[in-house]
Amino acid sequence: MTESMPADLSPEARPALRSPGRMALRRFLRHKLAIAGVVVLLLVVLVTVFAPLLTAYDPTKVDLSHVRKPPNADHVLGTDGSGRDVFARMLYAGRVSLLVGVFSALLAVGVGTLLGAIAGILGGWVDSVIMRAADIFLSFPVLVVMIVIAGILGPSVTTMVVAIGVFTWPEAGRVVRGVTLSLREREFVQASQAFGARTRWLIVHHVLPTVLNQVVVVATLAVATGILLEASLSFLGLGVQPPQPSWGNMLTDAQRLTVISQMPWLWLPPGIAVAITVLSVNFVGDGLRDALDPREAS
Amino acid sequence: MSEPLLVVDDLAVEFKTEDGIARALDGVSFEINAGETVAIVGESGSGKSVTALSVLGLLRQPPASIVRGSVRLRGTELLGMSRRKLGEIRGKDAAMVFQDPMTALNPVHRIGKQIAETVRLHSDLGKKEAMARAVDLLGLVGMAQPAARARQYPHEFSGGMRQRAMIAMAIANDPSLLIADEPTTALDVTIQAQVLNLLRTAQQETGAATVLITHDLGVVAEMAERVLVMYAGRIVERADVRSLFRSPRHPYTVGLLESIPRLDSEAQALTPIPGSPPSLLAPPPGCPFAPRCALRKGRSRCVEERPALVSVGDGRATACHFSEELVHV
Amino acid sequence: MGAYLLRRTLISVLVLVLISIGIFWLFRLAPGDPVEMMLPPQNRGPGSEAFIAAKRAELGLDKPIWVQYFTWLGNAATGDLGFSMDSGRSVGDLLGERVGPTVYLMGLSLVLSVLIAVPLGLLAAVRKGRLADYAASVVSLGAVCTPPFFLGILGIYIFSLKLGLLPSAGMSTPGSPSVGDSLLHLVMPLVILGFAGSGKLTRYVRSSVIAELHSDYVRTAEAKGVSAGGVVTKHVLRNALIPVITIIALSLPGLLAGAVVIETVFAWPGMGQLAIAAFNGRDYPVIIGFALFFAIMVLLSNLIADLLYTLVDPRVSLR
Repeated sequence: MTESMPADLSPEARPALRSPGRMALRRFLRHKLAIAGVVVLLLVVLVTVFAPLLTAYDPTKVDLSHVRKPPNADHVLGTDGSGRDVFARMLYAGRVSLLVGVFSALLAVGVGTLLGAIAGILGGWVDSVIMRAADIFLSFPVLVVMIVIAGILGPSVTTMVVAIGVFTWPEAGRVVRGVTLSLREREFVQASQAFGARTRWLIVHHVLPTVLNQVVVVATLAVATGILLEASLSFLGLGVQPPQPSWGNMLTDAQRLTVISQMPWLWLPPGIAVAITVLSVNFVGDGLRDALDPREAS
Repeated sequence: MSEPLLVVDDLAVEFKTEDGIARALDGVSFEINAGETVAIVGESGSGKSVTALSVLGLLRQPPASIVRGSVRLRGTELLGMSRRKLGEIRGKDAAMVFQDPMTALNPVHRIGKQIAETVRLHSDLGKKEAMARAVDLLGLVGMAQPAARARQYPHEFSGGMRQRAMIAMAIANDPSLLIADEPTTALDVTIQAQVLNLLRTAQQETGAATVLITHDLGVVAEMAERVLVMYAGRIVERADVRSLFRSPRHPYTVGLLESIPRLDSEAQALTPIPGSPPSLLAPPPGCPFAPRCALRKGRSRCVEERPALVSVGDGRATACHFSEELVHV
Repeated sequence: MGAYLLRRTLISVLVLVLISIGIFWLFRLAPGDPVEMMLPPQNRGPGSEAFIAAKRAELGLDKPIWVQYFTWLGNAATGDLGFSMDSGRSVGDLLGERVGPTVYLMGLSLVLSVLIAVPLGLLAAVRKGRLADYAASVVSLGAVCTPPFFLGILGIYIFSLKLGLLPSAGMSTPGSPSVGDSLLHLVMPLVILGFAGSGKLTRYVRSSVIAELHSDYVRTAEAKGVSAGGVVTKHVLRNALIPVITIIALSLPGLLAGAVVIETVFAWPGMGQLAIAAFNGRDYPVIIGFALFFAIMVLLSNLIADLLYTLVDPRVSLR
């Protein structure tokens, strides 16, 4: 039976077209919406990163001689209540919103992966406790928790990022735990061990790739959640504090009826920016999910 | 000879899969007469379940698609019939019993309600009368305390009881055709005998023609009058049950019979059929059994020309170029 | 059912105690001394030191911390949550009068969310991969990705300011209360909150129905002659909604979060608006009272979800 075993089992010897990475890429590229999402996201990131090149205005510089001007030749999106250029604020605000989204997602995924792996590997009562904790964290919405925390300790960006991360870890945790549990039982782990593979090699070559696939999807969607939460929190004054602009707090002004009715250039851009960015991240996340885990594709 | 109850003519069904198109049924033709018990036997992938589902139009299309053929119940063409008309026939003229009664029964409806549902769909009975009939049916299939049982949920029943309930559901409206798809496969051996007895009783009570789909030759010997042997989506032999067991006329049937243990045999070891069933994605031009056939002896006709199902007298038929060589005198 | 629920209740109480310790500890971290905050520096005079010391003793601030905690907990359990630093009114009273409008808004928007999500999710599942499915996806995705407060502002812009059809603030117009007037005030907050909540729920309903459509009992029902519509409504839906019901119960806390935002945008006189006002004014007693109320609400909704699951699924029996 062993005469037909191929002599060279290295990845290079496998037909290139069927390698998992290539297939995942092909599946991703089939997703038109995901590609659109990537394009838009790239645009947003580039625009915010290169903000200083795209606008000469300082987003926090007050200029009381040009207060509340509608869009004109000097100011592409007009000016706000303190004479600050709205376009410049939009670009710099984008940085903050994106950073908050990314960092909170990283925190959530980091904590979630750690706790999920521990729960999956150790099992038993450790698993029960961690899962119960996950349920509890999952049931507390970040917004309300922030009202209490920020109300007592004072609002800040760090508090916000930590709070978002700490309360959204259950999703990543659940996924990682699931993967760890199923991998423990999977035959190829047992088979590899029968061949004498060391645990560390197992983790690097078997556990990590599977976990990574799912975690990437969860992380992407966590970024979307983070951006949305930042917008709501900053809007309510619980997050990024003025004069530092963020898409959320640019909308705080729009609670006054005069602003809403007469100055749409102040609140339409940030709101639309949030919606489009979150939408794009969601599309990318969906595309990644279909690409990396086709069994999940509905 | 009166008109047959069910006529299936050159039925071909394809399945769209990720790797291509699989030919699940490749031109299947047979007849079922009123009141008779016919077994369709074959291994997994032979197409026997697909045949059963096609008759009642229960295949999901896509991914399946019926590419040609006809299915006529009492002269009426069933393929292509509107969903509504088909709904009038299903559960009334033709009924089906499925393999796994645990998943085949709705877990959130009480048993009595599920039986009563089929009664109400095909009659004018009200809720109370339908439920009373359901209780009667449960008693008919040998369930103790049928009234109490009717109020229970499927998960409160044992496997054998669930299958009894399924049979009760199937015979509720006195069908003329009863199709049972592997009715005992999911059950314990001891319960299998009970359920088979029940099926026989049900058939006698209703006078229905029964089509029994199975891979178990023991069930075939026990229940069937006639047998259809299927392989790779085609019928390869057709015979009455005694003739089939005594003198099979197709190498696949021979292989099947030799691979089951027999009390009267002196053999020390079982002889399985070597090889495995062919892929349905690219059916070869010749006989699908050729690669595994002990009768072939290297003859090229087997791989070049597809054997048709030809009659060999006495109501028997076989799809083999060299079936005469199997005749023992 | 009894033993299981009892265990869950006990765990919930334990968690509540832990949370209350957390809240209390958080309060202790607050910058500034509560008494000194009551008397800003410019108002102090010669007798202030003594006054502050006396107040401190009166409030028990010189006792060991765990004594303070239990005193506070004991008071809270009997309904005494202190007084608002802003208005001087009892926190209990404030919460009490604000609960009504919030529950009213939350309850109705939950109903609306379900009314949108179930048919839409069902349609998307049954017509999977076709136009209706994509359309439903677009709607639910839009609901998930657009910040509700932005929709609120947009709504005010279009319907209040440009079209003059709907009022932009409050529960009713002062001086002219009527059912019609209240309904007009309700429309925008309700629709936005309901729409926002339906996004995720639609996805859940859709995937639950899709999973059920592949079940064997569907084939049995078809074999009995049940019509296509009958299969969906009589067989699939009941099974598909089982997990969805618990999700609905678990979405209550998130609904409160949404209510906070919407109440702020529309000046709806509910708990959310109270909480934000307390935050802005650093009104600690109110914030803490709100925190306790909220913690209890979250734990209760978890328990309700457990209870519902045992009630709705006949396979989950008394344990």
